[in-house]
Amino acid sequence: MTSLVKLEWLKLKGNRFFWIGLGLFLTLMVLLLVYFGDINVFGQSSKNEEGAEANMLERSFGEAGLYNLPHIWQNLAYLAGFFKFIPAFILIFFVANEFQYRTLRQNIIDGLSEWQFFLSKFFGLLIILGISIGAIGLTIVILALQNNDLSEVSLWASSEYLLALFVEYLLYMSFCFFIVFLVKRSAISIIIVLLYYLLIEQIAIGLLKANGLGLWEYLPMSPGRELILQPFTRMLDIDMLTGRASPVAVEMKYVWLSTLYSLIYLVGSWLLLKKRDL
Amino acid sequence: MKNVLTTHNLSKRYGSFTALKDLSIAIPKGSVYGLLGPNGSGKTTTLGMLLGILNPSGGSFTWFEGETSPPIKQRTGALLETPNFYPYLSARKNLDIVATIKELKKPDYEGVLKTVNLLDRQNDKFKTFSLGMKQRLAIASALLCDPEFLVLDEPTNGLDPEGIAEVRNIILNIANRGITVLMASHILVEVEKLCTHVAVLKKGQLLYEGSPDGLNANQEGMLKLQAANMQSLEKALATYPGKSTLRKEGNYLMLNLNKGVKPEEVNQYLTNQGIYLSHLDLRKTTLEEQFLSLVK
Repeated sequence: MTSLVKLEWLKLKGNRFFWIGLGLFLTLMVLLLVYFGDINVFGQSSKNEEGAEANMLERSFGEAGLYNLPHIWQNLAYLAGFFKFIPAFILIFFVANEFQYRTLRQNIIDGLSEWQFFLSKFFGLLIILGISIGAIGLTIVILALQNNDLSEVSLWASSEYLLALFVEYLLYMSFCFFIVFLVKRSAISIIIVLLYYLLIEQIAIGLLKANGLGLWEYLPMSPGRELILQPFTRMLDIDMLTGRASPVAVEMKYVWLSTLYSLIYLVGSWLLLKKRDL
Repeated sequence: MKNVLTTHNLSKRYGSFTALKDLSIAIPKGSVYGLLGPNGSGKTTTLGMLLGILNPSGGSFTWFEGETSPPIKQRTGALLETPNFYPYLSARKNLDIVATIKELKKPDYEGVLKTVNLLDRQNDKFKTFSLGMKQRLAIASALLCDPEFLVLDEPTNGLDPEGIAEVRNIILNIANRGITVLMASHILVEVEKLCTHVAVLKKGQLLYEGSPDGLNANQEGMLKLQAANMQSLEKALATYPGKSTLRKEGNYLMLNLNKGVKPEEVNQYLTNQGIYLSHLDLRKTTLEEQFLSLVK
């Protein structure tokens, strides 16, 4: 077991792309999370020239409560959700490399069983996933400590949103894992994943919803979209105006469904590896 | 332990195409076993199944007569087709990966790199290597576990003459150390120089298994013949009872004789047919000629 983690780590740590990709991902994301609070909600200056009273809409996201506990967990997890493509694509490159360099064959020839190879790649997924979620969690904690008085509210209230983000990333990365095991090429995998996630499934969800079919929740990536709902209507008091209430907790149904789907994609990847000649 | 590897009716089919049919061979400990055959005869398919990258359609094989300790991967080294390594890692780090897979306690990196003459390049990335160096690194990697049994597929494929000679010397040294070697090749000089046992495959069928000398068991030798009228010579020889095989080579006819048939009998036969030879040359057949006549 530990030797499989070590094996994957040897492969990852010697690769410049892994470090550049991960570094870029973390830098971009941390910068976004830190500076998103300074962005004005409607793009104007937050104080008009005469220093008149601030309009409810003329303020920055920070002033609107982006970093306030307990909602900071949901707010920042939601933003971080947009970045899941980068670690997932790093993963795709790493699995596709094994096919492209024919090192998968060589690993098996050298004595790794197909199951051990699969496990080592899964550990690769966990390494990338762990670093990503760890860095996001750390950023949220630091920003929460800077912007809140802990005597009033607990730091960990609503931290379940980080778990939800973990599940969302896991689902997305497992799906990518399956696709790259299926087609073995990084560029084609990325095109398939982007087309499916950003276009095909969106259209399918729209059509199913329009026809009143509850089936839309069960499309391959759907549960992941429902884990962390957009926090902006509450943050900007639009909920208050429209009389609608945004949920304040993660719906466990989607956590279980996402986990189940992730498991299916992982098992599917394993079956592909096992059944095919290399 | 007598045999390091035995196969029982090993078969591989791709749809309706049979790449290997009911192969049963045994590789004795200490032998240098040559797997011969033209391209597409099933050599690499056989090795692929033995090494776990192809799933057999039928039959089975047994390593080390069923002994599982120490693990097979620590007792065998293998090199299949092209050398496959991580191009972004150095030679040494690639060997690190192999050692991790094989769970080797104390791999002798320097020793194997010295054997293949790559010690001074060990910290250079694999992608900067020439084909010959890549192939040598693959041999180093196969030797890393100090194997009892070495599997090599076309080990000199794509190398220049110097590289071929180098690799051949390395294999000879390995064989002299008493390591059992299974080598697939279509380059017969290689096999002739190295092998103690051979198996000949053609279109997935085993045609011959035994010693290289035994390939010649039913043949006495080869005659190189020429006469003024080549057509009538060819016609007369085509029906000659002592003939094993007949083929043209330039302006000559090459005649393989059945066992026990002597050259003077051929001469006598042709004279009786009214054909007088202008050239008669008895040659001991090379392995290549025996092989070609077998797979024809």
